[in-house]
Amino acid sequence: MKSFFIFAQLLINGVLLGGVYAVMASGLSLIFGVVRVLQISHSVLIILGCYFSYSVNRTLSLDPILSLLITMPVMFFIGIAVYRLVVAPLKDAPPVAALLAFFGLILALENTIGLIWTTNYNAIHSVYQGKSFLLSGFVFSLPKTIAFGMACLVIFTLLIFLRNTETGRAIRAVSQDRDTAQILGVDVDRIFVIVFGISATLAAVGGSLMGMIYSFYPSLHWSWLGVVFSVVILGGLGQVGGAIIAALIIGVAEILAAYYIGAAWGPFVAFAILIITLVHRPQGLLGTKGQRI
Amino acid sequence: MPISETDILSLNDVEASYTKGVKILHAISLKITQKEIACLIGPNGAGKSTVLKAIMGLTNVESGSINLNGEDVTDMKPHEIMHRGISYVPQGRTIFPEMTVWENLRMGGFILKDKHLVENRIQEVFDMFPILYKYRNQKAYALSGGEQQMIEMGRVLILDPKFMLIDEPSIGLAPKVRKLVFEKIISLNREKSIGILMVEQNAVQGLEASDLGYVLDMGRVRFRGSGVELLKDIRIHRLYLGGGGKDQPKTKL
Ligand SMILES: Nc1ncnc2c1ncn2[C@@H]1O[C@H](COP(=O)(O)OP(=O)(O)OP(=O)(O)O)[C@@H](O)[C@H]1O
Ligand SMILES: [Mg+2]
Repeated sequence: MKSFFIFAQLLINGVLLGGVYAVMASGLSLIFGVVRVLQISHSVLIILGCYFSYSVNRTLSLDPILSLLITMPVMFFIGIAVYRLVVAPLKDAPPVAALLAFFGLILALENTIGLIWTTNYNAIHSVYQGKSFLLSGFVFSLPKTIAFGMACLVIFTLLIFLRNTETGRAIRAVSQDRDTAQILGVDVDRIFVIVFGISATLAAVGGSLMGMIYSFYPSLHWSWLGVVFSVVILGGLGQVGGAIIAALIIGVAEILAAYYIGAAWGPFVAFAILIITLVHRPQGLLGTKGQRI
Repeated sequence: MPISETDILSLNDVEASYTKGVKILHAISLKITQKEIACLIGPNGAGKSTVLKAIMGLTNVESGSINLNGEDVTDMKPHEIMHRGISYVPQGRTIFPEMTVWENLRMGGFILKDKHLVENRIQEVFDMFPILYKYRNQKAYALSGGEQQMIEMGRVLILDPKFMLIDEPSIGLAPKVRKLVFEKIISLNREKSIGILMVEQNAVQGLEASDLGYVLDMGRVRFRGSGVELLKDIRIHRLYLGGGGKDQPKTKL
């Protein structure tokens, strides 16, 4: 009975973490689904967003969630800049050129972050830091629960936007058939700009929520890179819905592995899931052929 | 010149390419009014699809001109041409598979600011194709080939076009469904006064449905005539309908 109780508690913790992973990965999935490039510098944008929120949180003593009101628009424009300065100029170059450019961006941003904020551990403070509450005998960490709630809100807004707005439909149309969307009058370049903006905004939210839960340092984004890629590939490249489910699975798997095998095994499990998926189910969990959102 | 009450779409000695200098179309001239259905036939690679793309501004027109009711539309962008009343249904399935029938139709009105108007036009499309109304909330991939073809036609109707360019509307459809699609095309022309320029591999059915026919080969118009005339023409049968004459060089026919 006790072991079952522990298991259930771990599931809760895993789902809470998975929700944040979903936000972290959804932007990467969106870009792949629509623009068809592997944005490997996504995780460095996640940590950049985290540091922006950290600064806003420190200088204005704003609650981390409220800090997002400043971080999100800033990161939206940074996402657009990444598209305009890195992706668009390499549109006709071989795909490896974009990968190299993204790699350069990772190194440049990681070093810049180190210069501005130092390479020490940092944390985003809040009044509910370290607090928790009990529900049916289970412990809910307050920062994690708030982060999860915010993650759900953001994902929900993203899905509603994609389903129910003209721009959202145009984004899905470009993802499903770029040429036809163009023939119907959709400005594909403008859609790419918007998608990069949204993706970086999602990265910022994911990073800031992680920064509420855990302490961080500039090179931490490398392990997030493993997480977001595991999630996106397990969910099916470019499938935002699949990524959300995959994020919950990876979150739970990580927490379970950390408890039952050992703390250091969490990231390894995400990676193992990634490899197993690639070998046995390269189309991802939900398993359709196309990459559609 | 007599003043016509319908609009006229014409190509005058159009030479077009995908890569500058590599001409695919040579001196193509053709003309249709809103009252007519014209059919382009010809072997694979003849340039039939390229004619439609040239009209839509999707190729480089290197010389010659394309006119819509006297206005030169040769160098316009696709959306400018759409705004002037020419719609294009490309070759192959071009539905958005993961979007509902309604969402697909709604995308047809993407360039229209007035979304109320778009909704009204979607209702008109539903009146014209009741089966689409029935499946309005289904994902498009779940529909049959014929129904998907109707989505594609319905989607361009949202712009209330004067002319509709349709590339191989009957491809991959069962004979019965094919007949239905041609009937719909004829009623679009007769009831809504939409001039139709279509490309067809099924030359007999295509010409039967058409007022005018053009036979293309190697980027040139080889023959032109009324649909009935071309159907009768034995030369066409030899060349394009598998009626023999295989050993005769094409250029002599
Ligand atoms: N996007 C393109 N870029 C370069 N060349 C092209 C392109 N599309 C078609 N072509 C070439 O133009 C020529 C005419 O092609 P087109 O598609 O117009 O033929 P078609 O008559 O429609 O043939 P089919 O019956 O096979 O559809 C062919 O030689 C083809 O290879
Ligand atoms: Mg063709």
